[in-house]
Amino acid sequence: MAKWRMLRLQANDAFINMALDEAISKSVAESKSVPTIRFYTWEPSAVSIGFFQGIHEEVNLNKCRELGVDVVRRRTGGGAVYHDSSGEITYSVIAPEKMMPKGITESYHLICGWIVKSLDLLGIKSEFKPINDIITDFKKISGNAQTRRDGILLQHGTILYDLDVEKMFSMLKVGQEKISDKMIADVKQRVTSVLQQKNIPIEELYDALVHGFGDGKDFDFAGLTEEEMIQASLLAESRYKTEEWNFMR
Amino acid sequence: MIGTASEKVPGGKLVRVKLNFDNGKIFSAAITGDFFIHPEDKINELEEIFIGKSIFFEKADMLKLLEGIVEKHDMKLVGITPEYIVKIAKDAIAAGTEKSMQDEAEKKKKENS
Repeated sequence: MAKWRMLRLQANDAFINMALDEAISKSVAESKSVPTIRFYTWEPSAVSIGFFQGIHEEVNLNKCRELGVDVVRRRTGGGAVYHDSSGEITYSVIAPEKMMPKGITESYHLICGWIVKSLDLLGIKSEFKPINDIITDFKKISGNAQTRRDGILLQHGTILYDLDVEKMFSMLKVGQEKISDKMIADVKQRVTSVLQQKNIPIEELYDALVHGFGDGKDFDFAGLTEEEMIQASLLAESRYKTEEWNFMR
Repeated sequence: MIGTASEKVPGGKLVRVKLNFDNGKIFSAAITGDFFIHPEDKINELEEIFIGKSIFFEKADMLKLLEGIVEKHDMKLVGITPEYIVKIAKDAIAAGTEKSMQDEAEKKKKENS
């Protein structure tokens, strides 16, 4: 059975968070680290956009600046996400492709299944909805994104714990110039959170995720290697903090 | 002239194509949206296919060129297809042309008044 490493919940800024995913991917690709599951939050709160998104099309940059919210482009595709520092838990799964199903949908299904299992432990019924969502009660509770490079699969995603739709929409552009009450009502119909389903502290969600992701795996809690930490801080400076990267589209 | 069009691919993601063109030729192209392509950086090669082409390009020709790039790099596309890129690119040209005609008419109107 493959050995996994689990990295305990850690709060980082947006640039370090994205740089860590890349640094760990490199380390796993070079067999310097075992396949890794990591849990993290965003401090300060941040907006992440998909690799292919236009930053001006998706993000109200002035509002983000005003609220002290960082903005970062991800290595993965997908949509823009507001990561509230206390409103969600993000995970990453970094493993050799050969350990995972070859099909994109199948591999989303497998990893999203670990989230479904975690939510189930909390008594929240949910299911995977292709392409990359998990829904509860017909509403989205988790969004996920995946890429594969150098033989490594990276999937990261968020599990919504608490949701402030008005705040989210003040930073994300959604087509219309003005956010209408109806639009906010529509989103409230389409998105939910753990807290809306069950009144539990965020620590309990984290415990459930550790169990749901770890179930059936041989894993150790371990830290980052020194090389991963150094690589991540270099990547944060040379890529994720730069205008060249974040404004490339 | 700049033309932009976007569409949600059925069962897929939002795809937006922005084309810059003049004198019937395309000189820059950007494909944005919440879709997935890996390897990600190869999207540049899909965009470059449009550069230097006539705005009256044949859809089938363009499709073949895009598919060639996808095959060459063994690219995985999720929520986006070469067919839709071509379709939305045509819409972008139509939108850009229409806008430029409107702007022209607006200018003439101002000159005459």
